[in-house]
Amino acid sequence: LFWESLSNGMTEFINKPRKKILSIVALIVMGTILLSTAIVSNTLVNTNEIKPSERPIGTYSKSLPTRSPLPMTLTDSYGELAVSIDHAKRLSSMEVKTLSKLPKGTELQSVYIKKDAQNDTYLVTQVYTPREMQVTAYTTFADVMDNNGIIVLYSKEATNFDRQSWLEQYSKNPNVDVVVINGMNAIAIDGTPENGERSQIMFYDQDVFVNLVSVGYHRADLIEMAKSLQ
Amino acid sequence: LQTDQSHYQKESDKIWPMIALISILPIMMLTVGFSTQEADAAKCYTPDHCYALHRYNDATVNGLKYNTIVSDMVPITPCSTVMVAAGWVALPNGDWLEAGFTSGSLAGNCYSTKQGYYAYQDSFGYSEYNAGTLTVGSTHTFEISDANTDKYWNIKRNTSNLAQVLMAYSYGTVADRGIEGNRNNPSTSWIPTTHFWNGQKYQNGAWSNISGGQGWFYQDTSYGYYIGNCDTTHFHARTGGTLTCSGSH
Repeated sequence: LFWESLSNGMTEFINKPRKKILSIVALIVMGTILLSTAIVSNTLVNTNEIKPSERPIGTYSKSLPTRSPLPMTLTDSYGELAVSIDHAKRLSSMEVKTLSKLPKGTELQSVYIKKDAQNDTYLVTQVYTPREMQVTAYTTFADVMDNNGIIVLYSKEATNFDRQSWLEQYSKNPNVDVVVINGMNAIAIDGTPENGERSQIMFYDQDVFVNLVSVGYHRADLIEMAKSLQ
Repeated sequence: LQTDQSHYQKESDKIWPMIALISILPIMMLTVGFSTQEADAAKCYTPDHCYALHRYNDATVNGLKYNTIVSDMVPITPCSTVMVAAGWVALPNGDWLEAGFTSGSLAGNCYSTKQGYYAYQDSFGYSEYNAGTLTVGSTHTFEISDANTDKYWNIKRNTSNLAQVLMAYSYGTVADRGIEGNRNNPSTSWIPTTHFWNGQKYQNGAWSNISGGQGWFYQDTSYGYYIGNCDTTHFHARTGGTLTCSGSH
């Protein structure tokens, strides 16, 4: 009975010409409002996002010199896969964070831990790549750079290491600026990604040396990502 | 209605070839992909680079040291030849340092003689240096180390400090020793048997032997690059023929 009366009511409403016009106008207005809201919100989101790199795949490998070491798989360089970030934190006794602001489509693919003999602790490495790139046992450092991925390294310095002296000397190199990231002085290296050169951000988060490395992004983007570590 | 139908028919006439083309595209792309892979595969591990190496990567190192004897490498076309016997230390961020001997192309010049050399890739670019002519048959100790962990790496040959370089890390994640070249299937005289022994790593404030059970060999045997143990601390590398231990130390 309810459905029948509802159906009759709808038919009566639609059949009245004036109401028909009004309902069409209402639909158009609502549609326009919804569309405008979607466009505005999308614009707002986009301005807050890091644009995915448009660097052609393979730019890093093309830039390698004639003499170079044998390409290293990620496990050759960074050790075994960690079960989770917590696992890496526990083993390394470091405050390992993650990037919360990433280029659209880029995500954390894997975390590695390697015995750091000098401190009897671990080097922790996070590999962020575009979603469509598969990280396997054969993936190399060069593959990640070639595909515009981002590598983030966490390690501890030797106990006698003079941070300030190193920061001062290292920042004298070309294309290096000292920038402030979350209140901490950081080395910002602007490679020329177009030529396959790495951009890097290096800083000390308490006693942890953090290094972001990428060929796909200029340092301005890497600074934004570094600021989002949490 | 008839006009409409014929219109749709005409449209569908255009659409089907397009759909067919779109279906074929991935197959075409795959075919191109496979042929590219084959082309690359014909050039060793990476295009234009072939290796026979011992790799130590069990844990980080603050240094690598090894002995070698200068072998009589013969670059047939010196200006287009890259051939080295060297040690490498790779840092976590993609930087590396290397030292050894070479012939052929080096630092913008062409050599038929055997030259000592060192090179490094730091965060600001790649640099390579000629470290003087070496006599065939002479024995040398090469060292790449940051023993006091201040991020200043020293590159040494015997007692000479060839260079000091400030890097981003005081340790390396990989330490390699062996040969590298840019020719496929070169002859036995291209890089003749080259000795490597007494390999050591610097860890926890001291040098220790890289023992026989540590590390592993990589060799592009399909392209004529060979390496193997003669005893637990001594290995030979060469091009053009399988391993021989004659003349071991």
